[in-house]
Amino acid sequence: MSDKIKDYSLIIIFAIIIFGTFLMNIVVEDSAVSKSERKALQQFPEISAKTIKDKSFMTKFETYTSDQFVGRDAYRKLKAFVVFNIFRHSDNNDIYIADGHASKYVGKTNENAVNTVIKGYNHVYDTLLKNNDNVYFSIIPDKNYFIAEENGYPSINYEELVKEFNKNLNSEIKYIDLFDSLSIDDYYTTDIHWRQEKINDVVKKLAEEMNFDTGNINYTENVLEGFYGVYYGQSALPLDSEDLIYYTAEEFDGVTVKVLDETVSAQGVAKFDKADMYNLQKYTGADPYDVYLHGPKQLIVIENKNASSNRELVIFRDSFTSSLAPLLVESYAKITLIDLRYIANTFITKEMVDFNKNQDVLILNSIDVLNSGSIKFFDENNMLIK
Amino acid sequence: MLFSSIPFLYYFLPIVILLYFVVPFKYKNFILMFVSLFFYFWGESTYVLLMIGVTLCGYIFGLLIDKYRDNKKLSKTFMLISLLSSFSILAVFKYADFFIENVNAIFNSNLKLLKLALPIGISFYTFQIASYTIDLYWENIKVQKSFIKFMTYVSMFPQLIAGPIVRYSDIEKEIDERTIRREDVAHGIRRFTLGLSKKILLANVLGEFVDIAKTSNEMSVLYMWLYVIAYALHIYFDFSGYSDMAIGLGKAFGFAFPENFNYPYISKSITEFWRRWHLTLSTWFRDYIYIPLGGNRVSKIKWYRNILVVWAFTGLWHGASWNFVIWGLMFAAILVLEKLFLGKLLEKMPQIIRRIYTLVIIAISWVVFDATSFADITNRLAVMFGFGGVPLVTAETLYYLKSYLIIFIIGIIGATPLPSMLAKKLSDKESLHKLVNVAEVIALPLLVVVSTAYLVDGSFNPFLYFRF
Repeated sequence: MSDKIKDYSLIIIFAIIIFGTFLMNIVVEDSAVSKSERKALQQFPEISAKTIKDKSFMTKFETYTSDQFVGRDAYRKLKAFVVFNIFRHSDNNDIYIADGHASKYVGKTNENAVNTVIKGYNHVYDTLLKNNDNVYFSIIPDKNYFIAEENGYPSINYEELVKEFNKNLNSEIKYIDLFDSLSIDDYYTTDIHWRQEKINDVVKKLAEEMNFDTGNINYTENVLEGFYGVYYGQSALPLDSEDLIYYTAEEFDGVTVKVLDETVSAQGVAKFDKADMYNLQKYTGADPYDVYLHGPKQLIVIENKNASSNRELVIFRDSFTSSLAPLLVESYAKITLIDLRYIANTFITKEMVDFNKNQDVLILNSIDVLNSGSIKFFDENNMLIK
Repeated sequence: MLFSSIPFLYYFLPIVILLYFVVPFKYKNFILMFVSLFFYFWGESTYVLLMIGVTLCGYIFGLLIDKYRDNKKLSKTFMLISLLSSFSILAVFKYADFFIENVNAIFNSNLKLLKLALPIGISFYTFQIASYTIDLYWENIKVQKSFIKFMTYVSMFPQLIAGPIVRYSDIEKEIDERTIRREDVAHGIRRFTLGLSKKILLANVLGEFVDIAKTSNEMSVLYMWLYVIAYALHIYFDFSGYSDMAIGLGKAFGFAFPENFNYPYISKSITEFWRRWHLTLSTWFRDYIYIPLGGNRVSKIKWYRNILVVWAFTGLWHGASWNFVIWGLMFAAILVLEKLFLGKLLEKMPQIIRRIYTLVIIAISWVVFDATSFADITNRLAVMFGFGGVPLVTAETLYYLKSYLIIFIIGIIGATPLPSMLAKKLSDKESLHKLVNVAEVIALPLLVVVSTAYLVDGSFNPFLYFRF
């Protein structure tokens, strides 16, 4: 190729890329959501003197051009390919692949976050749970526990972490070790969560330690195909989809699920809306895992008039419990699920949860939540506990 | 708007290219000025009028300097008023709060800070206008009577916000008459693409690591060295990548902007480093401050003073903070030492020792440059040299080393002339010349596509020299 042809070729190819992409971006219709990334995409921002003056138009336009870029998914996959295969980077957007699983890299314990959680739950114990005789605490290991070290990824010192909780949490709170009840196969390959159909050992372990009867239910497996978890979109790698399985049973007929109305809960109003155990509409939404108990909610009460006992259970929880709770409805007449990421401990009124000494209380959080500092605790003066 | 952004690459640039190349030559400056003002308005809508005002002042005083050229006193007065006005504005926006903070600290007073946002690129366009004013006074250039042409020179978007600091003399001929040749456009595209790739594929990735290193609790001697090396490469590829893009765009539009970098990390002394790093800034200080003060053709005391002044200003130019002053003065001290005896001593040493000496000093200088407090500087330097009471290496350090190893290797090799020497050697061989051309036609568009993929996926895209 002569220099002249090279110059012309470069100019033409560059023009095709720049002008072609410009035209395509204008012509191709904008999308509302990105399913692979589980996010709503920025729409063309409002132009006004105000939005230009405060620069919000410019900021949103930049997000808009990236979100609505023609072939966005393909470009993201190309970037992931280059990151992993050319630059041999160990992760892409902090997601790494090992043993067929996508997992989020967490190099070490976030000591500040862990200390805050310990202080926070001790405060919750002192203010809400002091009268309860049966308060339990357990940790759900993340996938890194099973795959990080052997694949050369630094991870949390899990032994130290558990020691830290046992040492510093109120001694009345009994620890239940779930680490041995799980394996990497009990988790979705593309998601952070465990699989509902794989956590029988967890239920058994809880039953042993908390002394409840697991009953003898014949669950029906319901399969939702084509499940992609949260790490699929973040890693942008061509990972295979899985089946999402949710259990139903005849015994669920007597179950009622009530979800706290979040629009009035901040005013201390305990208004509940009836809901189903599973919300299949969520399967096509941003996070298909929200099928289980509707996803992130402040407070949910599950009652089963046909339960094998009249015992009550309160769980301070995160999203993992959404798939666990349905497996406990046979054992407890009433289960209250509280997610302190979405409702402050000081906002919980007696009308919402009537704490009493006969209840079992389980504090059950995943490592991801404990280590991220995403739960905020407040003291009597509504000041953030640090 | 950054060059390395989707709005610039796939919205602004195609429209500008279309407008610029479609209109007849006599409208090209107007188009360039118009789109440049829009470019500036996009990032700095509030201060676009300030930039126009400062430019107008420079333009009017330029006319007055020229008109009263025969009256040396009057001409000098206009030159001084022009410089005073533009530098006063720079001082108010950039240095007023620094000054007030120090007055408050010294006199225990409670003067209120102005808290003015720093207009983007103000240091760059102030220096450009000043160079025009001084060169005009010195009769190195002819006066520009067209405001549109003068505004085009100051506001030209490829170099407006981050340099290189283009002097009027650099583009004096081209602003009036320029030819846009095929080979220049192709060369401009090549240079722009390489700069874009340096910025996105290297600088941004290294910048991510720098951010991780600064915010994580991880600490080991090796980790601190990785941070320093990453920062050194990050700032080099960030700034030189941006300069490449500016020079490339300038070339494609018919202008020859001056070079800004010449592989600074291969220097064998700090004196050489400053002949290779941010050339347009160091030559600006040399020509408009150091030499007018007498340079080195004065008494030793005055010579020390000249060096001290230039390097204190160089430090302050980078930011209104004591760490930048220390950074500048540190180089002043080393340059004096090199001129006094160290330079001669170094010349007798093996090249490898000279390079290590230079790189270690540069590494220390970047620690000072990137610090937010004195404690930062001392703590980081202590860790680097084994006095921090931290382990030599940890598992997490090794993880990051492994994860970023390829980027570090590419970065280190890319900071030397080896890749361009190799490309030239291959291209110079008649048998391979055509093959190299084909490779270039494939590789450059591929780099644009991969860089675009990074932009589409990523959010990390700051630019270090944006607010200098």
